[in-house]
Amino acid sequence: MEIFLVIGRETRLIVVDEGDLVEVLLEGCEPDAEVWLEETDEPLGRKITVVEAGIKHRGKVHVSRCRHIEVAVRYNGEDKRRSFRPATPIARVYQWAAGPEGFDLPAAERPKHTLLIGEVEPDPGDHVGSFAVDCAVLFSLVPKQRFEG
Amino acid sequence: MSEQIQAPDERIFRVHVAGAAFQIGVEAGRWRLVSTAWPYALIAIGAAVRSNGPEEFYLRFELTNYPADAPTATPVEAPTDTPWDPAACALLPAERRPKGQRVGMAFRTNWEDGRTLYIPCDRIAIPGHEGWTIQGRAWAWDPSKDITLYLRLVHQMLNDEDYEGV
Repeated sequence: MEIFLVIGRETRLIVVDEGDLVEVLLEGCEPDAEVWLEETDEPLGRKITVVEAGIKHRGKVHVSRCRHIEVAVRYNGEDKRRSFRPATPIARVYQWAAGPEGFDLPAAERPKHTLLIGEVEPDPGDHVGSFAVDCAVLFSLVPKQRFEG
Repeated sequence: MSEQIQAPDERIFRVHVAGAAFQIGVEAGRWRLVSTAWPYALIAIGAAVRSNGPEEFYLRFELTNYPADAPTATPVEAPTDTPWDPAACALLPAERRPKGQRVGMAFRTNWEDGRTLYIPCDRIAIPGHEGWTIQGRAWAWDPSKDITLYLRLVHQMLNDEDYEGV
């Protein structure tokens, strides 16, 4: 079976056997790294098989040594902070940042903004842990770029 | 039996299409490679559900000297021929193009006769629009990028809330 393995900003498409243990996915990674399914609160056990762990063919898993990512989002010179699990999709981080617990953008403005880190606009499906350094990340909340003129 | 030798641009494109960044988009239903007839490739890109919109739009990419040179893409009608003939592709007419603030501008028909997307990673659109990359470089092409940069931007626009269907 094929698995999308997300390590930092790199995604690899790897082939494993259904009976392989989760720890196979950690070969070459830091010793304290763990494997995470999206939107889960705990990492997968290392000694269970990938199938027992609930990993599907062409499913996406995240490798991180961080149990939490400390996220800061900057908007108009102000920062809001919250922690997320590493395999949290950027779409959820954006929902928080633009929503009532974040900067509470007017409903009409929410679709017109996005998160930016450096020169990269992450995809909604990217994992927040992919952009972290030392388990922390700072995004800017900015208007989506318009291409006119 | 002779084996066709691929030029470097085609070889790199095929490596990118087989790679994780492209395939993860395929798996998520964001895009799919329909056909290739080098230097052309036909790629379908998924759009948000609208009562008056199709599930996908088709782009015919011209990929000469990829990725040193940016791709350029033409919005075309759904293919009906087998095998696909890139020269026979019909330009997508204005009434069947996606509407909406951002995506409508990208698929405009009053520039280059609608044969090119008006976005900063398109080879034809880049000259004369250097201001786009001064505003931000998130979508600027350079040879380290791959086709998914272009696809991500178009998919984002086709799934924005302001996309209105056709």
